[in-house]
Amino acid sequence: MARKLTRREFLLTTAATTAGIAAITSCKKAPALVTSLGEFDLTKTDQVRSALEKEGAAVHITTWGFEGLRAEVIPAKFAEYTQKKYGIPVTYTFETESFSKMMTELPIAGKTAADAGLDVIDKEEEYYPRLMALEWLEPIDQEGYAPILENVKKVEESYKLRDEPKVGGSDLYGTMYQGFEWLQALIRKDKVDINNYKDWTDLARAELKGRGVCYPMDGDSRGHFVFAGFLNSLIKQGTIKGNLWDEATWEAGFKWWKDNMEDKVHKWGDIGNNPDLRLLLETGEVWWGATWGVYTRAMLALPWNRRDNALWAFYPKSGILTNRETCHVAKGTKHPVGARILIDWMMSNEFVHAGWYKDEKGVEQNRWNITEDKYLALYTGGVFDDQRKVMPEFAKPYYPENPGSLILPCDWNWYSSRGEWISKAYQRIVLGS
Amino acid sequence: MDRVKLFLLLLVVVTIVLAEANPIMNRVKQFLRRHGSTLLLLSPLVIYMALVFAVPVGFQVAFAFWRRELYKGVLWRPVPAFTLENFVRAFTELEYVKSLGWTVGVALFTSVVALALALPVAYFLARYKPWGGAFIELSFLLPIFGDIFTIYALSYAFTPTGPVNWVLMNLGLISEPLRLQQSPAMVIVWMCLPTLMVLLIRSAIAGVDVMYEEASQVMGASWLRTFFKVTIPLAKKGIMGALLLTVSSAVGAYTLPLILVGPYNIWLANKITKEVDPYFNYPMASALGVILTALCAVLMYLYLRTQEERRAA
Repeated sequence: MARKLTRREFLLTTAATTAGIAAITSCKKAPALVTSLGEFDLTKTDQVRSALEKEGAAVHITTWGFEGLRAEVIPAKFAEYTQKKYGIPVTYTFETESFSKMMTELPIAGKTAADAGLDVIDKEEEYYPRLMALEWLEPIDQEGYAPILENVKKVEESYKLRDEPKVGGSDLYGTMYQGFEWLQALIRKDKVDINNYKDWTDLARAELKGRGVCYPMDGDSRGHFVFAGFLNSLIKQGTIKGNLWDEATWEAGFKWWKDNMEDKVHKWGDIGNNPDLRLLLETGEVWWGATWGVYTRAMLALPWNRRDNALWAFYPKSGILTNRETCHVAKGTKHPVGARILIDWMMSNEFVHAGWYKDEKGVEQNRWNITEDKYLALYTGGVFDDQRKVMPEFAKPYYPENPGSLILPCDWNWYSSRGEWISKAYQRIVLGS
Repeated sequence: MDRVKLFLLLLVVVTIVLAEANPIMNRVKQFLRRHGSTLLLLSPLVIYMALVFAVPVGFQVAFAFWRRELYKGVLWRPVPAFTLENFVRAFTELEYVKSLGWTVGVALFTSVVALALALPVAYFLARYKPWGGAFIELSFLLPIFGDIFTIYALSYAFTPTGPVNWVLMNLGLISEPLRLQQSPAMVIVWMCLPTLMVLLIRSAIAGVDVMYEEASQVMGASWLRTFFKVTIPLAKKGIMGALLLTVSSAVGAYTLPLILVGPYNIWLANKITKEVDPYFNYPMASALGVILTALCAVLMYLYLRTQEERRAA
């Protein structure tokens, strides 16, 4: 008859078993991932499919763009695209968590964007220096991936971010899918004579006192970029001397802003995104609003404006700062093939035009069934010449003739470390606090 | 995987210790026999509070002593250190001192005003039980239930073309609209509204036996003297509780100033969020958060002292 185990014996046996499990799990092989392309030749469609299959046929992106489409339309269209092209539907998932917070919090934990599950990072240009400093990116065009980067190849060089270090000769760390995306303004042409409005500083005219909506200067890069437009204009006019990317110049600019512009703002905020602020423009309570180009076009196409023909897109002649959405591959991504296929698709006519473009025969089709105002918010000028030629006819009047002439280059390295300084200089000089 | 192994290793160690520690186990068993059911009842809340409150607060306190560095000239990031620099800045730099002083000052002022407004109403509701009393009480809760709606309504009311300016202009009191928006006055007006405070004080006053008030008046005290010398001291516990809740929520005000004043408001909660994003100064944000938490803890301590005094009396 078996002897009954004492509690001590039972606990020691349990400990031994647990220790055994720990030993066995430590010998278990790590799950297989596509870490190199040695085994796949991406010139062959079936090999691309196999690579996608092996990495799980999924891709995860952080993005703010394509509001309203990213939850349902884009995942469905991307799955459709990959099914048609490579014979396997790739699952697209996204997140909109504050990327600035991720950039601060993940390094504390010794993690990278890829560790957090990101494969593709879609962020504005201003993030690029910080992403490179964190070493979170790998070249999109790494050896072996060229066959799945057909559209990326066509993208004009001015939209590509090439950098050091080169990895096996590859240096493409980012590519924009927005040809131009800038901070301009909308003006109520039924309230003022628009012939008086040619440059940023014209918004300081007395008739606009308390009639504007602008992005905040305190801790909001959009407000800083609008201000940079004013500052550049002041430098060109000779009102302020100095370099645009210099602290002394910005301080002089804030003094000018305090005397000339501060009282022209009725409310601080995002008139493009905030329905309350949009309503102020519609009711005529405010007469101008600084906003992104995408919202400028979208608001021009709103039914009330089509009826009243009240809004006018203001393109300041001295130049506008752009901050375009740029795609990157997260270094060490678990889905390197899927990530590159997604980026390539984001450079395609289908994505850039949100499905509304002319085919090879010149036949225009709204494939994603989107509204005109949504199209105008989504299409931002294309990234290669052929892309611009297939724009739907209705949209042409909404786009400037030569956007390149208006783009004002930004020194992102200078700006990246000065967001706080600019905000506090504004508070100190303009608000006196 | 490393974490799993670490957990298993810990399990082995704990199991061996338990196997070899009979006397301790016996004492633990005795304790559990006596208090086991109480611990079982307490455990969900204790675990919840530990995970949701204690752990984040622990991190917050630790971060408050870190410093920030500019990494590769483009990225601000927190760095482990032990420095009191953030606390020194909080109490010496004008920006933070003003924010702290303003937040606490407004919280105290508005809570006192709210208390003064709430007391008579609460007394009325507790003693006279008017017709429709439940409806009146509910009306004090509505601003809390739908605060965003109420705040936006208030925000609209004070626009240049809103009803307040419309009335003032049509009465000929002003010639051009007042710019009341983005002014802290609106926040102060809203914070002075006695909402939950009325109900809490009503309950406290209702708990005071009317016989004490009658005895006071029979002995010649006026109604007002009775109210201040008998009713309020007896209801002090509830009144202090209501005051504590109001001050605490006012000290942590964030949404209200953001909507009514805008992003430039100097309330401390707004400063904290700015320090996190876009300034990436987690250590400074944590230090300000610790100061805010400590402030609430002091208030709680003062409140508990009033309870102790009551027990001692």
